[in-house]
Amino acid sequence: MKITELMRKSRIYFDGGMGTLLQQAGLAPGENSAEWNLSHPEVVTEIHRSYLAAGCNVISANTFGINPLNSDRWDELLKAAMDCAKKASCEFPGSYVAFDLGPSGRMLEPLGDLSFDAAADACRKLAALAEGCGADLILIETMNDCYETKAAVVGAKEGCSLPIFVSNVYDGSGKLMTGADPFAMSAMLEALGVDAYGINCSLGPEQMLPVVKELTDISSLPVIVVPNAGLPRVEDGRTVYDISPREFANHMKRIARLDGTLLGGCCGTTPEHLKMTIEATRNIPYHYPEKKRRTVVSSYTHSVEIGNDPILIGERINPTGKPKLKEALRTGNLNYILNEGIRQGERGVHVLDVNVGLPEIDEPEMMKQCVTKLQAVTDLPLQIDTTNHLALSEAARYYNGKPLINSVNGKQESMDSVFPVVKKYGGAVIALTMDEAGIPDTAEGRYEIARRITEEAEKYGIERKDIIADPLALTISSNPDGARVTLEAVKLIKQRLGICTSLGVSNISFGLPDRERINSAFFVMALEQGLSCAIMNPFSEGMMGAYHAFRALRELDPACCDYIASCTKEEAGAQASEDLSGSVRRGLSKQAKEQALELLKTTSPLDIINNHIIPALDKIGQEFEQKKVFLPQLLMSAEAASASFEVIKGAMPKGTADKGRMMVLATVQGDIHDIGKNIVKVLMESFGFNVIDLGRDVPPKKVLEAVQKSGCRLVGLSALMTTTVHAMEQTIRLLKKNVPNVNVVVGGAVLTKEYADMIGADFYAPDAMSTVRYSEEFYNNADV
Amino acid sequence: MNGVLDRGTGCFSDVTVPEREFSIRLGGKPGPETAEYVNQLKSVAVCRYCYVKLPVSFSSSYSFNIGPLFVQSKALGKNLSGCNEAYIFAATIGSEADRLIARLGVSSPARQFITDAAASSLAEGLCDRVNALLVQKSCAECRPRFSPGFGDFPLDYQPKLLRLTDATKQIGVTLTNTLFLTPSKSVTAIIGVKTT
Repeated sequence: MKITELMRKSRIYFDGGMGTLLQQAGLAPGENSAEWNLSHPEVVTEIHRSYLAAGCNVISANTFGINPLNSDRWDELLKAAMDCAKKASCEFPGSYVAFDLGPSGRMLEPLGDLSFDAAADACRKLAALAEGCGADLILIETMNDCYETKAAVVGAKEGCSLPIFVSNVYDGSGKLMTGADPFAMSAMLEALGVDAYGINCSLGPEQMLPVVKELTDISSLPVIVVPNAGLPRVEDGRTVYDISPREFANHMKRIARLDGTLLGGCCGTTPEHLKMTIEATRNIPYHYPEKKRRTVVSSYTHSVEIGNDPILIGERINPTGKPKLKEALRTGNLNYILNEGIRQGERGVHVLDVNVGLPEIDEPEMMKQCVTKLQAVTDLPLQIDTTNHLALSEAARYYNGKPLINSVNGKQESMDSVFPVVKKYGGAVIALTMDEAGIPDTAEGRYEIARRITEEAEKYGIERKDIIADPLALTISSNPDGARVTLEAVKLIKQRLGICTSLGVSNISFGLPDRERINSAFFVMALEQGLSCAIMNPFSEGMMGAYHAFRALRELDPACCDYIASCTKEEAGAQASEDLSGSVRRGLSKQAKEQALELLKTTSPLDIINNHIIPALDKIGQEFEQKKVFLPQLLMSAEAASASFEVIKGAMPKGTADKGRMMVLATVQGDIHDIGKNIVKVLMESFGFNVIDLGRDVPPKKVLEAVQKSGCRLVGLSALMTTTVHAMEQTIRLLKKNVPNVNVVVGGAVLTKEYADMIGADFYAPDAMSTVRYSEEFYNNADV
Repeated sequence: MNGVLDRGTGCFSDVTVPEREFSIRLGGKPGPETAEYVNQLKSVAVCRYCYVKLPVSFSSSYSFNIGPLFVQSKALGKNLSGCNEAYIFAATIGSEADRLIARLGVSSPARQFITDAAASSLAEGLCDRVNALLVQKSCAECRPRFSPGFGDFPLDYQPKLLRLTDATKQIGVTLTNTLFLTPSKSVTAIIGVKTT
């Protein structure tokens, strides 16, 4: 019987600790336990036997830590481990062998340097070989990072067709090391289609109880609970754990009484611990969990439930009607987009819509960049908004969590293209009620399409709780009954299908003046009909006001706390400054911006830059060089200067921007430190240079390409560590070979003038200010 | 016997940013506006550590064993000379600090710079606390802590130090291909102990 069938009827018992027992048998500290599959197979097999004899259904092969990323002999070790496990399992008919897939020991991008694909690919190989060696299931365990967990599940599914069980490490605060709570993990894992999931390691059974309770409350699948035998201490050179088999079994009784739990033991547990646990819990009834019908999406930290409490989806990252965003997309200025995301989050949205659909750019690549970079700076769940199939599957693959996908519609082609992606990577999906015949003009018609879409989704195994219908708000300026039809459709869909609904609220007022007034009223009307989420502009006071008021009135806001909080205005709170120069010198960005705007009424942009901003920056630059002020003040002044530049650039006629003075800037390959480089960038920009920032960990080839593409002859390279400075040398060599008149400035903590000379750099910049001075001199002397 | 004399893991919730470290990194005394940024950092930092205590034996002044780890280093050899035991510890202020620093880079490089300086200083402050804890535990003479990258003790030892302390599993510290610790505000160090 397959293990997934067995767990429908009865509780499954995993085995206990392997590492502790190997240590007792002589494994040295720091020695790789997987090696013993080759050097001491009898010991490993005997340990497996003892757990099966104790009554466990499943033994985990001694494969924890085996990974192609860590060892060339991974396949040899894996086969040996599976041999030991299969040998023992054969003696106990009805037992199962799990392939134990542990963390790679590396952190995934963007915090670390391991790519998602590399991690997933390693797991794909492991799962495929494990299946070939006769594993009955894949047990992905001890994962303390949400993203690595996803990579492992995706990889394992690509490599084999075995059942997949997943177990994470939660710490004492009830979260994973990188911040995910049980709700986030539950959302993502169920969406990815695993067969069971839960918690293991780090804590004893009693400390695990709060997380186990949270998981059993929300899970539609069995919950795995594999605690440590308490906390370790060292006695006479041996590591001992402080919970005895009897105590452990007692604690596990409480856990067994929570429905649908599968039990096992982790570090410090022995066959005796498992034997007593099985005896103590054997007669406690087990029921396969009921399916829960919550609609959720998640990020790498938390989940957002879409249901009775309306959800706000921030719509600002969308190029339609936004020239600045279009420009940012064309020039690859991701910072602008990230800022829009962060600012919307500060206004209180729950989810961020991400739409980068611009015909002249590489949408799939841009979508992937935006999704991964946004997730590095905000922990809000994202709505992947695209009609480009490749962009959708890229974004869904690299998304960290369970995304909201916008959208699918009633056209067969759309459903055929979107649903497989949703099935593979998980997600909740917005379903637009339109099809080949267009948008129905009746509520009944739109309901019909919603119904058809949910039925088609079910063919893929996508449950209706993950379908959110959008009955489309058509503008009343050309469809007088537009509001009525949409509102009725929301009501019908909620009543008859019982699924969530969404609307792009502001569409209702297209073509009319003072759109905010109509949008806000329509918003409340729709919420009253049961609208679950709205794609809206959080900077609209009217819309946010309507949202907070509705919640307070509908008893969704106890003691009107949120409503009251939304009423307090933020004070500007900064000391006044005389003029623009003063604001720049004192680093007052907000005032600098206002004063620049004011000055534009009477002065030309170029005059403002040359007579007000640059002299002020120059002065503070000199004070920095004289050690009268330090880096923080210099940076704040640079920021104030940049803020005023932003305003001024908008006023300059096209083409007058000083394109001549450019710099290509990068942190070299293998190096992920970028703060110093960012400081150089800010300072260079505030002094009027055009900086092409390639980011960090940049291969030499990419620097060369940027130089050749832009025609820029000045390059700045940064490196922090001895292990990466050779990449700097390679980059310089490549540049000098291909672009003979290029000039390279280098900087970074590891560099000295001597080393810079040795590797062929043209200038060693001990700090950001000297980079600016050198660059100014370079362009003054050069034939631009 | 597996040679491990002691092992432990824990966290501190009240680590402060050492003023001297912070000033050096900022290039001057921290002004009043930095307090807000420091508080923001502390609200997301999670200060954790783990350690292992192993026997030390010398074959020469610069070749020695710390448990099963064989080291060749004049500088570390000098630091540990006369010691018969050593603690190896790993400490980190967590990955949320890295995310905060990345986020600030988008909106305000000045704030990012200040927060980054505070974060590095906080990691040093954490090491000071761990150091003090281990000295107290040892009830013996301890040497100043010594990390990979000092003198002729290269970063190449980082993987082994992480393995011995089980830092990846205990506190989530990993290593990149180019031997950076991640989360970036993490430290590994050796403290020699002389009990004889």
